[in-house]
Amino acid sequence: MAQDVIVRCRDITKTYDLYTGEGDRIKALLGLPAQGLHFNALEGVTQDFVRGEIVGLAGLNGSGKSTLARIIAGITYPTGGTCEVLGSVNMLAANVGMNDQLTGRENIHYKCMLMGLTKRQIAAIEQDVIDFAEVGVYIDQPLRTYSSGMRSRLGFAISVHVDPEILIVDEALSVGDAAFSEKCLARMQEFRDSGKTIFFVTHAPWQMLHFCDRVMWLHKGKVIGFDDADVMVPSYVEFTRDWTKFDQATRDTLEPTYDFYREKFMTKQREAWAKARENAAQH
Amino acid sequence: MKATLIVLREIVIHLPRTVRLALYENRSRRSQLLLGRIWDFLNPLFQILIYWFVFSVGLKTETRNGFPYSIWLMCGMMPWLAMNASSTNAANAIQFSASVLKNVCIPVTIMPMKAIVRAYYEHLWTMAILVAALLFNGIWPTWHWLELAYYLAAAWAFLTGFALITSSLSAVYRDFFEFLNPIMRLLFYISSVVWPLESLPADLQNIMRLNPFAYIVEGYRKCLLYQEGILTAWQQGLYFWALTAVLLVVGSMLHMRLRKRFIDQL
Repeated sequence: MAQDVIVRCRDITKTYDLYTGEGDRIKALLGLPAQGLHFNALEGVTQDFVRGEIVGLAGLNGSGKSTLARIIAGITYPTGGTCEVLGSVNMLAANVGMNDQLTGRENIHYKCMLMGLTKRQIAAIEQDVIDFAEVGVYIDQPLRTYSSGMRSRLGFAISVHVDPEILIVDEALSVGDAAFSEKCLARMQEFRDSGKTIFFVTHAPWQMLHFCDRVMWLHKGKVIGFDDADVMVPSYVEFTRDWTKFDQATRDTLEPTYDFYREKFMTKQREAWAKARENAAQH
Repeated sequence: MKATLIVLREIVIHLPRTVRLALYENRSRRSQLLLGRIWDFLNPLFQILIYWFVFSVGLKTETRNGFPYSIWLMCGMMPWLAMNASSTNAANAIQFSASVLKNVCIPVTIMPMKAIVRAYYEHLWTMAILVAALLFNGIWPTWHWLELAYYLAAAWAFLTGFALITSSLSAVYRDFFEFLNPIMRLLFYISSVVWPLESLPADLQNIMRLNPFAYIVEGYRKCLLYQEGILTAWQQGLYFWALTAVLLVVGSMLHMRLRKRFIDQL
């Protein structure tokens, strides 16, 4: 099957050096390797991602989701392996690059410039951003007078109107009230429908289930599985349920497999169906 | 050399974006001030007043090389203030924009370059005071004034190289920034801003002229006051450009080497 690959990850590894004391710092200063600990945020991630999909990245805290997202965004670099990105990328960061002293309108210009838009491109989206943000007359007031909700809405509105081929969303979409959240999700779907690719990092399984086409499950920097969201998300949820029951020793040594948790989910599902059939037969 | 080409290309391509960002940031700073742009004039004026008071009133310096001390001081102080602001802010720039660099896909070199643009945008305004002061003292424009464009370009090239080194180093090793402050203070006193190099023995003068900041400071005076052409100090000029080239090459190599570590360490 010829697929239109847009991001090609090959054996990506990301190692952080952890410094344990002043001695290590000085060694690092002199360019010597630190004896301290190394932390592998990612280990041998190999995966192709195709155009026009919403990809979810699932995993516990520290599993490497954000690191992978940042590598794809070109913000940080892998220590080993390669990440080929065949399109423009934008990372959605609602609260970054907003200047308190500038007015809402000036912030639209400022933030768009940071993201590399030209004057003409900015002029073209300005009104859409203002309408989307729902800040009303505040648009010409300095940002410091905004409520935190208004601030995030404006930042979000700017981010989703920049039109990259790949969008990375590494934060909750629950900005502002439920209605605004809904609007943001709708905007994302519009994005996907126009053939864009979205990477979506979230801790809310229902959002992922509702929204993603495929989901990658990362655990301690390794890919546990990559599958359709309808199967992957419930399997991952099974895993997180187990995880909360494990003690620290089990957690440290545990190497979860996708097959195991998918089977667990499937079995539960089958039991639920069987029960439903029984109930139906009884009535 | 390859690193230099990559870095210089990046700087040039993104220059329009850098300038627009810098203008917005200057605007944001002004909007917090009641007097707004007037501070762009007042700040250098206060600095000049302080040194004028110390040297002219305190140490009874009346003229320098045949010009009133205040005028002579201004001609050196204006370029110095721009270079000083550029160097200090550019060195801090990468560290200062950590949150943006961690979340927005933007070339890192924009940050130090933006600091230079901001300082020189203010410099253009302060030049208005300088011109007014010169005219007030009966010093009229000559063709030599146009040579300021050369010194402006020279300062920019040098500061770019210098900023590449200082910003990269202080992003990874914070200590470096602390170290830069006393160096800049020392450079202020040896760059002929407040006293002329001519008062030193000839040998020492030549050594002092190895300081690239002195080349620019003296250059401004040559154009505006002494009516001396660029070529009168051609050896010093040659040395200056050689040094600038070295800084650009070393700076971009350093920047490319440390770049991968910026984001993880910031």
